[in-house]
Amino acid sequence: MSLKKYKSHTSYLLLGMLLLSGCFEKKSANQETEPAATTEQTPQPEPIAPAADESMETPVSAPDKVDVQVYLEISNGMKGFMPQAAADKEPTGFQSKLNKLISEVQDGRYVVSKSYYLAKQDAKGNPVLDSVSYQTMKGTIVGGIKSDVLGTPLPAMLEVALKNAVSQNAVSIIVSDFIHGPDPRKPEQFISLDSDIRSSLKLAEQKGLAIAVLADASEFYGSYHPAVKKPEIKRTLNGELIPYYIWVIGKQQEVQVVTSKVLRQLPAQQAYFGFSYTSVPFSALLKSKTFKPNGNVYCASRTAEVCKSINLLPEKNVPVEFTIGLNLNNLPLSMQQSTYLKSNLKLKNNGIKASILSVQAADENTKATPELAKYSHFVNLQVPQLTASSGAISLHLPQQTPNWIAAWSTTNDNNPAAAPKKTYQLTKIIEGVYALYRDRSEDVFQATIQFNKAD
Amino acid sequence: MIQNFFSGLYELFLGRPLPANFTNDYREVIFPNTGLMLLLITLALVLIYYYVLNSMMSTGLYKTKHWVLFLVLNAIIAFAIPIFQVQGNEVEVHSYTYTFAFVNTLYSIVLFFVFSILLKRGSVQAWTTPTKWPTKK
Repeated sequence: MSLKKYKSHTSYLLLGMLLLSGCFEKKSANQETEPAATTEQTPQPEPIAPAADESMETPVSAPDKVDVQVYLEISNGMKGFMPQAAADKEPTGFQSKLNKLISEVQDGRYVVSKSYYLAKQDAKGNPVLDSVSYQTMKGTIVGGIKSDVLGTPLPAMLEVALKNAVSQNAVSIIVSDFIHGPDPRKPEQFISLDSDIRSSLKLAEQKGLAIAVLADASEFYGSYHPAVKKPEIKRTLNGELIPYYIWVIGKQQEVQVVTSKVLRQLPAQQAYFGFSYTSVPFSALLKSKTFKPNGNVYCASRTAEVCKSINLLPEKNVPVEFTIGLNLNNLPLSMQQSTYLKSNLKLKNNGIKASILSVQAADENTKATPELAKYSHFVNLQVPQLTASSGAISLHLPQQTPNWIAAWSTTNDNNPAAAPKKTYQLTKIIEGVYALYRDRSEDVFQATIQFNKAD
Repeated sequence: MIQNFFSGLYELFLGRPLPANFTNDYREVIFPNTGLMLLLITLALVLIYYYVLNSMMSTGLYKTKHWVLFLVLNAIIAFAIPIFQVQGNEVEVHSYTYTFAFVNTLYSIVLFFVFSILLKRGSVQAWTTPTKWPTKK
């Protein structure tokens, strides 16, 4: 071979080297959306389209403003929450809370159209909604109920208010002590309370509405009318705590606007029905420095910004541990609490043994880390063993009746001084609501991660 | 294909990549990059030694000690590539990284020798470097 030939060969090789050295470049996550970059990925068992996933996940932007209707039950039993105002008298908790609420409804920036109703009973025992002005509503709350009004049977009042709100496409805020006062001629209503509540709220379920129940207790002055009339038909109270309830019924996002932006400070006792999220943003965090995984686990895709498919292989004495980041900011407030999630988040495992080690809310550190800032909670999982070579781990939050319901419920509300903050048959009322939504969706949300045994 | 080949080649001695969460970065980027660069740089140095320095130019670098010098130069490059690859791809540096660099160095020595044996025959001045074998004359 001649020298010239070698010379040209060498230059070809050097040229080739230059070209090849650029071949397997690390693509940053941002570049991944470019179609050219995707050709480089190794074939994956579960083809994932990060771009499409992402767009599906963007939370449906909650409406900024809502239409609101406020219903206040007016009956002799409610009078004690709203004693006549006087300069030397502190307003009751009920009065200050309700005052703030209607003020926010009237003048707050999140409510478009508003209307106020006093819910009472006519002479025939039928519920009536008295449409009133803001001033009248305010006057009733601070000045008390003057006339003598009988209590409305609970289911009837709910039904009529709901119907009215649905017909006008508004969110209803129903304020009542929820003490069941059935027509004295129909005592059987005591027994069928749960099914009656269910029937009365059927419309909400049919229309796809969600319900938030907020419970609080307020000082009570005056005649208290218990549901159980023995031994006393009524008692005179002087500041004992009696529960009252704010029910918010409407479209899921609209209820959220009301609870977070109109009511603002929610009591600790919250219950949510019919809330479900088709998707919440989540990702397995496998390259985070804050949540370093343990054991043999890695994302199936090298470049995916959101990792929903992982490869893992737990070994004897080396279980796999990794963290999933979730954005639960759209969930009802009480469901976002780490303690609630800790006791209620569950795993559905398919082909894998896994358990939840810890649930942690976002802190200053994670909020300051760009790739973690979009997640509100971090769930640490442990996988000691695989039982199949592929499958899924599914993190889900089942629909749940919160514990406080039982604590706030009683079968005998006759003596509130001895047993404060109890409502007659609250569990039954809530059971009726729960039954309404029972079959609609089992979970508030579900986050599923596919896995393959690592090779 | 290339990715699997080089991953297999390195994991044969190294075992699975560590830390495990960077497995993909090793298998899809670092191993193939390092392997290809090892191959090409070694080949280039062998060609330069036999055909540039000892054929086209008569530099007098035909002795075995010169050949060893090039082998060592190649080995140093082979040790550096994995470390730069790991750092350049934002992968956590681990003791695995240095074991990997060491294995790559060993491969570079073997490869340099093999290329030398295969290509030395065409050289004018260095056809017997580092050894006369396998040519019979």
